[in-house]
Amino acid sequence: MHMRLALLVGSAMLWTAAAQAAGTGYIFVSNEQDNTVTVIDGTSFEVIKVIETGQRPRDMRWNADKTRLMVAASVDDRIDVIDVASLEVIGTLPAGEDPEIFDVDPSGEILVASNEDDNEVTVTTIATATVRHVVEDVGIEPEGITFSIDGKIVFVTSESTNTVIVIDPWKGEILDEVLVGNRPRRGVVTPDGAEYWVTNELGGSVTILDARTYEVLDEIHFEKRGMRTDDITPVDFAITKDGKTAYVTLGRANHVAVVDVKSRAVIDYILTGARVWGAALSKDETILVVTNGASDDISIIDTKKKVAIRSVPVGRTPHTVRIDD
Amino acid sequence: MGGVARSAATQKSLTTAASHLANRLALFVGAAARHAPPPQPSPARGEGVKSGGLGRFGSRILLLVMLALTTVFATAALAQETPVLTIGYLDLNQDPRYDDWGIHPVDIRSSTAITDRRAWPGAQLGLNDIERLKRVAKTGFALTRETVDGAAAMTAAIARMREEGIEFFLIDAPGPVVAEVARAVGDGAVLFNTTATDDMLRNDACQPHLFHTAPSQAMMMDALAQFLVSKKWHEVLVLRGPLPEDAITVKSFERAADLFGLDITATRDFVPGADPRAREQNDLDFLTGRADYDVVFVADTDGEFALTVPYGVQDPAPVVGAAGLVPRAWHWSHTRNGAPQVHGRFERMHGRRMLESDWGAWVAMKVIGEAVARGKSTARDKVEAYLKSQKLRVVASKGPGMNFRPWSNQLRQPIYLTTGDWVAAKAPLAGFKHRTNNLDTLGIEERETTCKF
Repeated sequence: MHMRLALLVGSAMLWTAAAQAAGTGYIFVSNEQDNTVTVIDGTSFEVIKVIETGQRPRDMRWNADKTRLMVAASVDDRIDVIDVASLEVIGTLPAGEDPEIFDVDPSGEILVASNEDDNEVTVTTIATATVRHVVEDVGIEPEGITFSIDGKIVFVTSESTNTVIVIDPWKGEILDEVLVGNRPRRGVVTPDGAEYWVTNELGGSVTILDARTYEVLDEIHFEKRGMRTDDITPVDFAITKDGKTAYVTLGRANHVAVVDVKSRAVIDYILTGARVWGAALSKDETILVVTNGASDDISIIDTKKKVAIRSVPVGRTPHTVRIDD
Repeated sequence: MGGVARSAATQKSLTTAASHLANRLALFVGAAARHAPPPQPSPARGEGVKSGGLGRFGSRILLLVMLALTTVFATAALAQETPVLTIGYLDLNQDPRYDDWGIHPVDIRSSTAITDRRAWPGAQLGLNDIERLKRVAKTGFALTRETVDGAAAMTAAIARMREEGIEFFLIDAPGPVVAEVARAVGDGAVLFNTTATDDMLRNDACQPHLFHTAPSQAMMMDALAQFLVSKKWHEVLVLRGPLPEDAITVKSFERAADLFGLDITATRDFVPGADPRAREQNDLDFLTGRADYDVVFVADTDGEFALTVPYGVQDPAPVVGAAGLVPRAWHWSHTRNGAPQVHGRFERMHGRRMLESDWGAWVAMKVIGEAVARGKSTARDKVEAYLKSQKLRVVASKGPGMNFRPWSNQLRQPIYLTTGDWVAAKAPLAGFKHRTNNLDTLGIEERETTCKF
C-alpha cells in the first residue's frame, strides 16, 4: 500500500517526507547462517525481535519512505519485504538467482541486484514486483551494487574479474568497465555525486573513480602497526551526509578506518569484532554500527570518541546492518 | 537401474557431441587451430540421477553447449578486433597419479564413479573466467591441448607450439617429467607446473621460467605440522609405504617435524598384503603396537593401504597424511573466501567435484589473466616480469591474494587440512607468524632453498 502510494507522489516530496519521518530507532541485522534478521533497540541495545526470513539473508535496503526493509534471501532467490511497523515479512520481490547485494534507485522505483553465480545483474520494478531487465556478462561473481546520486547509472563490482562495470539499469545496458584493485567488493558514491569509491578486499585498498568519466583518480591504502597487510581486507562503507567522512570496514584486520574524504587521508582506525563487514550510521551520525561476521556480534561505535562502546550478540554470521531513525 | 544406464549413455553421447562441436568451432577461430583431444566425457554420477535424470542432464548438456557456443562466438567476434592469447596445455596419456594411485578399489570397478582427476577441466574453467577480462585487457584468450607420451614428446610438442607463437604452457605431469621438460625447453617459454608437488622442483630442479601453482610437499607437510603442534599432538608414529615417493614424503615430513618441534617416536615400513609371515609389515595391530604416539602419520602415495589406517590403529590416535586429516591445495567443502562460487561454477561446467589438480590449472589461468590485465601486455617478457614482481596478487578464493616466491617461483598459498567432507583447518594456522608474510611459514624458505636461478 505504502509502496504504491509512494510511487504516486513525486520523488522530491518523498525525500522530504522520509527525512522528517521519526523512525523507530531500531537496528536491523541480517544473519546469513541463521536465516533471520535481528531487530535491536537503538538506545537500550536490547533485542526486540528476531524475524525469520528466507535462506541466507544478506544485503538489506529501505524503500523510499523507510516503511519497508527489503532483505536479499539469496538461497531462496528472492527479496523478502519486512514491514517496519509490524516487524513481519509481508511479501517478496524477484531479483534473479542468488541475489546478494542490491541497491534501490533514489526515487524508489527499481532495485538492482547482483546474481553472482550467473554473472548477471537483475533490475526489478518494486511496485509491480516484476523483473525489468537482466544484464548479462557483468564479470565473474558480481557483488557490489551502487546507484549514482542522480539514479541514472549503477556501479557493479566483479569480485573475480577485478573490475567495476558501469550499467544503465533503465535500459539494461553495459556502459563501461574499469579495472580496479583485487577482489572489489562494495562501493559508495560521495553525496556530491562526484566520486565513486570501491573497496578492494584483497588489494587492501579503496579505489576512487570519477563518478562521471569513470577514470581512476586515486587509491587509498590502509596500514597500521600491528595489522598484517594481508589481513587488511576492506569491504563496506558508511559515509556522512556532508560527504566529509567515510568509514571503511577492514574485514580480518578487525578495524574500521576513518577517512577524510577531501584529503583522502586515513585519520584513525577503530577496533571492532572479528571480520568486520557491514556498516551503517545513525541519522545524527553519532553512532556507527558494524557487523562482525566471525564473532557473531555487532559493534556500536561512538563516532566522536572513535571507539567501540558496546558489542551486541546477534545471529550467526551477521552480514548487513541498517538503522531506522 | 535401467534408467540410470540409459541416462548415463545419453549424457555420454551428447556430451561428446558437445565437445566435438566445441572443437569443430574452435577450429574456425583459427587461433592455434590444433586438434585437441575432446575433453573426457564425465560418466554419470549415481546420485545425480535420482530424479528426473534426463531433465537434469539435459540442462547440464545444454549449458555445456551454450558455454561452448558463447565462448567460441565471443572469441570469434573478438578475434577481428583484438588479439587472442593462446595458452598451451600438456599432459600425459599415461600418468601414474591418475592411472594407478588414489582411486578407491570400489571406484575402479564402478560404472558410475567419476575417476577422472586430471587438471584439464580446471584449465577450462580458468579460460572461462579470464575471458571476462576481454573488455579491460583488450585481448581474448584460448587454450589448446596436447596429450603425449613422455617428457621427450612433451618437449617436442612445446617446440611445435612455440613455432605457432604460443609462449605460455600449463603442464599436468609428474615431477620428474616436469623437471625434464622445463630443463629441455629452456627460457623463452613460460611454464606452469599445475599438479606436481615434488620439493625438488622448487630446489635443485628449479628453472627461472617454471612457475608452480601446485603447492610443494614441504608446504603441505608444514601445514600438517602446524596443525599437530597447535593441538599439542607432539608424538608421531610414521608409517612409510614401499614406493620411492613414500620415502620422499617421509623425508619432507621429517623436515617439517624438525622445524615445528614434533617428535617422531618411530618410523615403520608397511607393505600392503595379507601374508601372515609379513604381519609385522601388513597388520596394523603390529604396525601401531608397542609405540608411544599421539598421532599416526601415513605416507602412502598409492593410497589403498592408507584407507585402512583410521580406526585401525592400536592407540586411540588420529591419523594424518594420506588418510584421516589430509593436507590439500583445494577441497570442495570449503565455505569461505568465495570458494563455493568457484566450486559451483566448476560443478555446473563439468558435473563433478573440483579437485586439487583442477585448482592448480584454474589458478594458473587466473595468474596469466591477472598479469596480462594488470601488466597491460601479452608480450612474454612483460608477463613474465609481472609474474616475478611482488605486485602480483592473484585472487584464487583461498583467502589472501597470492604471488610467487622470488627464490623458487612457488605460488604462496594457504593449505587446507581436510577430512572427507570438511576443511578442518586452514594453514598457516593462527599463531604461526612470519616476519614478512605468514604464507611463508609454509614450505621452503629463502634461506634453505637450494634453487639457483
